[in-house]
Amino acid sequence: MTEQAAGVVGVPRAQRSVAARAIEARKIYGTGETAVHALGGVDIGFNRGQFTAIMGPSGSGKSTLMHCMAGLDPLTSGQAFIGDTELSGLSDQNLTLLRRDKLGFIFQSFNLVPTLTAIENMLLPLRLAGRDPDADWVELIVTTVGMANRRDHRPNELSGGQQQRVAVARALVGRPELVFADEPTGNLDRKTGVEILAFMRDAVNRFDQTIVMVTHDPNAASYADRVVFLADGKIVDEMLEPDADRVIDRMKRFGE
Amino acid sequence: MKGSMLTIAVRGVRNNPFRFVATGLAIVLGIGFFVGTSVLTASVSQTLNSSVTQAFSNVDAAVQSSSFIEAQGFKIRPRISRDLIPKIEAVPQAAAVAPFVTGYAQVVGSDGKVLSGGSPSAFAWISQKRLNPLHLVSGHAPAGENQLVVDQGSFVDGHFHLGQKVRLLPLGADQLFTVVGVMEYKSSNQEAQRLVALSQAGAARVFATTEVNQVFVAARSGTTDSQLVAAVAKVLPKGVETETGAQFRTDLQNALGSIVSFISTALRIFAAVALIVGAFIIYNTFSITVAQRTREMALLRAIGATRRQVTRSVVAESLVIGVVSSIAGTLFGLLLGWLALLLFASLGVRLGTSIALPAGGLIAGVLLGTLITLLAAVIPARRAARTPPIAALRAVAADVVGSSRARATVGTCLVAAGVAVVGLSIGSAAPRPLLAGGILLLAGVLTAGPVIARPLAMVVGAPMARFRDPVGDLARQNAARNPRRTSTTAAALMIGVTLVAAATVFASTLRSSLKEQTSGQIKTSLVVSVDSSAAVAGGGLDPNLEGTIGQVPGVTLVSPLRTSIGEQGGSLISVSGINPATASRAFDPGVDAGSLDALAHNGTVAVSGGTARAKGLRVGSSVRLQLSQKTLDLKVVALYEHNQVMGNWVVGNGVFDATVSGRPLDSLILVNTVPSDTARAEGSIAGLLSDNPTATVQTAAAYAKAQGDQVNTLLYVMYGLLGFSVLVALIGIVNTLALSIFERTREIGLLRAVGMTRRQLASTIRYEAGIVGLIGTILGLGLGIIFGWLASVAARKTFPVFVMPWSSLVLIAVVGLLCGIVAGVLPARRAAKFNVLAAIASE
Repeated sequence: MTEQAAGVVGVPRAQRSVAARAIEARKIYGTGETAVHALGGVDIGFNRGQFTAIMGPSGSGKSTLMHCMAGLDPLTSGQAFIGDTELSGLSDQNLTLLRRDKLGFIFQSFNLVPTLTAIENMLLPLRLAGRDPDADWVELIVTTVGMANRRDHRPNELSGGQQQRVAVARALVGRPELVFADEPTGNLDRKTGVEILAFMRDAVNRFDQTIVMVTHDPNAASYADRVVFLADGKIVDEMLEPDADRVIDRMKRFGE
Repeated sequence: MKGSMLTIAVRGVRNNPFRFVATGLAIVLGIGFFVGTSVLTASVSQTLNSSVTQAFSNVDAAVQSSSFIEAQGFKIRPRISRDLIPKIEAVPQAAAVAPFVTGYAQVVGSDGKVLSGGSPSAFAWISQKRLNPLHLVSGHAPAGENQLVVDQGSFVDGHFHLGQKVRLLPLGADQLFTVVGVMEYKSSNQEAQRLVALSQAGAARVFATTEVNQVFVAARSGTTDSQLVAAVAKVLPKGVETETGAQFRTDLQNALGSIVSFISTALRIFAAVALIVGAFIIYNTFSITVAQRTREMALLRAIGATRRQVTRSVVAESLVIGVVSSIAGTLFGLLLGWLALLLFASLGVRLGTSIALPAGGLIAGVLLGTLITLLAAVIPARRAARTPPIAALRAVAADVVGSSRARATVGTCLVAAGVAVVGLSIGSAAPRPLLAGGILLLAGVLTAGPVIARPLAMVVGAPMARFRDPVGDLARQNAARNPRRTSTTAAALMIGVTLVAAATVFASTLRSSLKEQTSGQIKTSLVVSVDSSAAVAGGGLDPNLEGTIGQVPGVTLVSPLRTSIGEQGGSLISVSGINPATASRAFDPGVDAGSLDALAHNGTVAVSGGTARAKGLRVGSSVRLQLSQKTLDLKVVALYEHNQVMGNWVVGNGVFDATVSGRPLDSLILVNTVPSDTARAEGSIAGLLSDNPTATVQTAAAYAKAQGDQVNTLLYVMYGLLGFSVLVALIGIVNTLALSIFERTREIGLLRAVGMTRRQLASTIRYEAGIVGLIGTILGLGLGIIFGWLASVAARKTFPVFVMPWSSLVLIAVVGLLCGIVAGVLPARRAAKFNVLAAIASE
């Protein structure tokens, strides 16, 4: 399986490039006295094949950063790039096409279209793009997330964990440049959450997938290669090869 | 607590304006149509009534024939002799006596065409001013045989000027009249329409009789109307009676009112259909909004609201919407009624100059709208009250899927019963069982709707799913996900389409039957006829034409047909007069017994088979009928099968002309030609007809087709009226869809996030609307075809030719699909505008 996977992975780890980056990213909600500076000038890059976790207390701007980098929310000033594409210059149509072709999404809840079966949900972005799925690749992903024998079930026939596995598969199946995950384990029990994180880790290891995950769970963050800490809309710290205890220690210091 | 539930209801309306605008719109349209029709009919009858009352207000007694034929409120009386006038003048209580003469005459405009609209007729000018219903606006009264006065509208429309020489039908082009004046009714708010006034001598010439329709009498001062009537009655011979002016005016009003009430009944039926469709929409809206608010309701229950209180809050909400929209609908109805009057006026039909405000109709509009809204809200309200408090804690609020086995069973049974009833009664073609069978079918389909909606959506949407992947597939899944909602939305459209399709199918039967019967009963190559509006007013072709046409090269046979109204066995009949020497070579009514040639003998009649069977007549029997004021005892000499062209009673021209008073006019002249000369003869005859703008010459085939196509006018009027209920149904689609996308906000956000473009999203929603529209259209077409076919079966004795109008039906299906897609445009645009992030984050 690993050999097969290696065959389909495009970029060797040695030649790492930047999958997405933000320069002087600012996001202000509202105006005047009520203005909220959600992002106060963030510079950050996400390397290809790297699993990055963004952490920080509530209101630190971590979700805003992700939304802005994914083209879901425009920056007030500064720049955001997916690959070499600058987002601020794109129309809604082009942003949509960019999301469809280059990005994958995993949300906290309500991740699937209820009228479609598991496999239809997974293939939806490809169908929307009118692209033919690569059957071997789809098979590999479906098997990897363990949904091979439930592919024709509808979301209401699946458990929360199974639904989230479908969402992971959907995010991966189009071989996006980058997968954004917004609290992907927030609605799951611990055991199921661990499974989902393991799949995501697996995708990075085996398929060289780039993943950016927003989380407040130190244990989830420990699956990442790198943790970026945000507070008050600014990057305040960074940790490579994190483990849960060190992340907890760092998070505790925000309370001080 | 009562007050606070009302507060919640009011807040509910205020906080969700869109869903109430949509519900309200359905009520506004339905009630608007209803009120509009009553405003229209009230305005028309007000105008007619007041004009009649005012114009004839000085008539204290009217003398007329005591025998009459009553048809739809009209009392048709034969004319009486003018010799009575001196006798009445001798009555001491009579201050003034005037002959009233009226009949068909139609003035030809300066452009050589007859003026359209109105009901063309002529009065003889009454010189006694107080008894004359007309007064001069300019010029002078007609004097001598060759002068006439026209009404103001005709004066303008015909571009006449005083002193102008004009033609007057039915007289020929060689007899011209001079326009010497312009007149109006002696009433402020009614225009005379296509009316000319002639001198008494001129009327005698045009109507070819000196007889009079009525004699008007004015009483000497101090004499009451009833004293006058009693005095006048003493000098009258048998067969002539007198009544007071008040009774005379009441009779006139009733006659005019019966047309108005016939039209208003027809309009009410269409208004009722629009209201029923509206009720579906209102019910659906409340069902959906209540389902969406399950959590809110459950929360209210959890914090201590009783079931009754929850029910009451929904009902109160419906009351707020019902009252507000019904008032708006009533105002809209006033506007519609006014617009309709303007529209008719612009078409040359001046129905009324002032708008009437029928208090009853307006109040009924408000009450009806409120009541319907309340009723439509009751079921969802009770459902809301059953919401268990625990539902507040559950995440998803969804409409209950109503595809129960019971529903499927009952629906199937109803359909089966309908089919059985239809099957059993098809042989006898009895209308009532057929109608009952049809209604059972309709009820079955409505009951089974939620069960069949899902499979139907999947099948109907299959082509879209096939060719517009994935947008079409998503649309079809969405249409299938809430079968009850989809079926109710589609049912509203289905009702309108059913009626449209039924009318289309039945009209096709009428059209093709009329066409085939007409062409089958005419043996000649050409037909000369008068246009139907002139024919209805009593117009026709000058019998002298027969001879002229006979001299056209290539013409081998000329055979006329004239008709008049008579009475037999207490009911109104139409009697035709033919030329026995030529008729059997021109007409082919399928003579079963005897011969049309025998009509050459005096005192003979031919009768259609259907009538003969009903009356127990056979060749040799004798029958008594009334024609004009004369009673005829006739011997039956022929029986024939087909009555389309000749009608049910036919006499020879000798009998006809000797009996019918006034100028005989042909309604039809059949002309046969040498085949090679037909086209040339047609041209020559057209030249002969050029001085009668109401006359046309056509080939027999074209005439037959035109006979059939007369049905189209009625069909298009029905389309227009049914259009209203279809419009209401389309608003229902907009409504349901708008509420559904509101419910699916998060899902839409998700789809957009994973790469669905705005355009794809909008198409998905438009297709969903198209699928719902198509379901309604297909079910409606199916039922409509069945209904139309059943009506055709019931009428097959009279209209035996059944032709399925496939192209019209396909057109209806396409229009239905397009209407659905158009209905989806607004919700689609709304959904496409959703902010992706806000949508994902929404609760």
